[in-house]
Amino acid sequence: MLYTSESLETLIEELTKFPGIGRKTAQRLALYILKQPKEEVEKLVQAIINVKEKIKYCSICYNITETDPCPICSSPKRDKTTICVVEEPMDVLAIEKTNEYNGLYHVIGGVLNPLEGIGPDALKIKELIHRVSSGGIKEVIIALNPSVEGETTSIYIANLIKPFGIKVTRIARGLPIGTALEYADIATIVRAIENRTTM
Amino acid sequence: MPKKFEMVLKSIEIKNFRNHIHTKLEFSENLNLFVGGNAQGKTSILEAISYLCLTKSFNANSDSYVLNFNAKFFEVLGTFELDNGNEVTVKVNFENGQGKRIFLNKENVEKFAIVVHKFPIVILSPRSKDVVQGTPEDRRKFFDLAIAQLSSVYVDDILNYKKVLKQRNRILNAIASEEVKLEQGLDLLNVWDEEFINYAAKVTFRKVKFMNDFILFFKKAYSNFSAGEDAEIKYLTQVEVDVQDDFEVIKNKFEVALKKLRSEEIRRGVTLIGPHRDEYVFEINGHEVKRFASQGQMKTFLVALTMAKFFYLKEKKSETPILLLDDAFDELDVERAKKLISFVGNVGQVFITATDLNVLSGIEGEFKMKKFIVKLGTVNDA
Repeated sequence: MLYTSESLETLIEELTKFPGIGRKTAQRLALYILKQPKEEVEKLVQAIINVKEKIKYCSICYNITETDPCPICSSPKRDKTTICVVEEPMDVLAIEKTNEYNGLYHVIGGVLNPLEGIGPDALKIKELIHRVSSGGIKEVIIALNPSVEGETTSIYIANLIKPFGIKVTRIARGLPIGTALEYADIATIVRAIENRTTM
Repeated sequence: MPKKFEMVLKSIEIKNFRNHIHTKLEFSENLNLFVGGNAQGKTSILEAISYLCLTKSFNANSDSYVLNFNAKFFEVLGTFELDNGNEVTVKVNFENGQGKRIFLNKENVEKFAIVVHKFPIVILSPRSKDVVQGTPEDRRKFFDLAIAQLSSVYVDDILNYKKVLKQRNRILNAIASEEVKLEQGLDLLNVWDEEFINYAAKVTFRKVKFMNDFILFFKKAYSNFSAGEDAEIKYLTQVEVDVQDDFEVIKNKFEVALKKLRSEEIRRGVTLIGPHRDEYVFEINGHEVKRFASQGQMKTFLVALTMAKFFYLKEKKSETPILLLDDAFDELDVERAKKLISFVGNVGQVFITATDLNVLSGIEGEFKMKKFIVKLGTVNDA
């Protein structure tokens, strides 16, 4: 379906590029934008330009930030002896929401994936090793996703850090809290038994 | 005949499935015979049953193949009575462009392996002869499915193994073609090795344990059809594994083997060991079936494999499998097929297609049986 307005058509096409947005949703969003007062639309445009212009990557942990170093890296309250390694900035948000972790982060920006041509150089692993080798770090917690690629990347990073004599740990995998054992799927239970801890 | 405790498919409702526009059937808990000419829709009913248990057809490689030509969606709804007397419904729904969805008691199932694990089924169709006469891949698939029906974790392990294998091959290839520096390539290879060894050992461990049990069922089944012959299944891995080996021992063996093959693998740019290269060799009296056996012996081998799988699953699982025999009277000869039916018909539910209503004469009286006439996608009681 083509619209009589070329600018509307262009907007719809731009919106369909977003993840999870199909053509129908894009049409609905575009028509919504069209109906908004001009100030509202300008606010949206400015917000989009701001994230692009103001947000950069922290030169220490590679999380997204508006100040460099980021508020976490520069906070005097954080425990600077612990680094938690995650894949993406979203993972930092997830852990920060818990309010339980008080150390620093390192966002490596993905996982090793030879089939997609992602090797160690495409990730911020060298930068992590540099941080670790500069001293002052007591523990590195690896919190990558439990995919085959995530596991492999965890092993790769652990192998690089161990020579420095620093404690390397990995977050546990097993039953989600609130799930009764009888309702958990079998693979999860098996993983949980494999990763059991001594009491 | 007392009511046996077994898993029973009580009824099925099929919509837009091949030439069945809307077919509703109630089954016998024992034997069900579908009779009709070619291309009338007998096999389609068996395929629909296979969708309920395996989430796919045993005949078609794609869901869209079984969709009726004039329809946008197909649906299969089955009601099972489990061994414990509880009723469970399974609904499979496929829509062009939307894909396939499965509901267990109306609840959406995300992991299809759960269904495969819950409703054991054994199928003998014209395609099954590939297990005996086809490629090593055909045999690996046959046994992999049997293990998957037993353990849904095995499905995850196999999928992960295949992922790691692909990634590892990519790295070997990159090293072989000098895309990466040797030193960095080896560093990466070492990490993938760890995961590769882990999954290769997990899969192999299960396969060895499985065959150790399965072979007993197989030999017993075979002797029912051909006394005096010694039939054997050899499970061959490139890494020699013993049934006593625990997981750690097998891991160790893979590690040693990989080290030995390191330069060879790098030269050829591909992984040379692992479950993807396992072989199953079938033998009768010490001779390989594929090369030396007669047509009759191959049929006997196939019927024994089918029967062994049935009784193996029956013993190892809490539910009795369903048996589907598609065109078995052609595939196995009438006598072998009848014998199989009389063994299985006593303990479970069987669905049979045939071109002749009286094909079970002689053993008919022993079972509760329902006969259906299938014509142009409609089904009537015979």
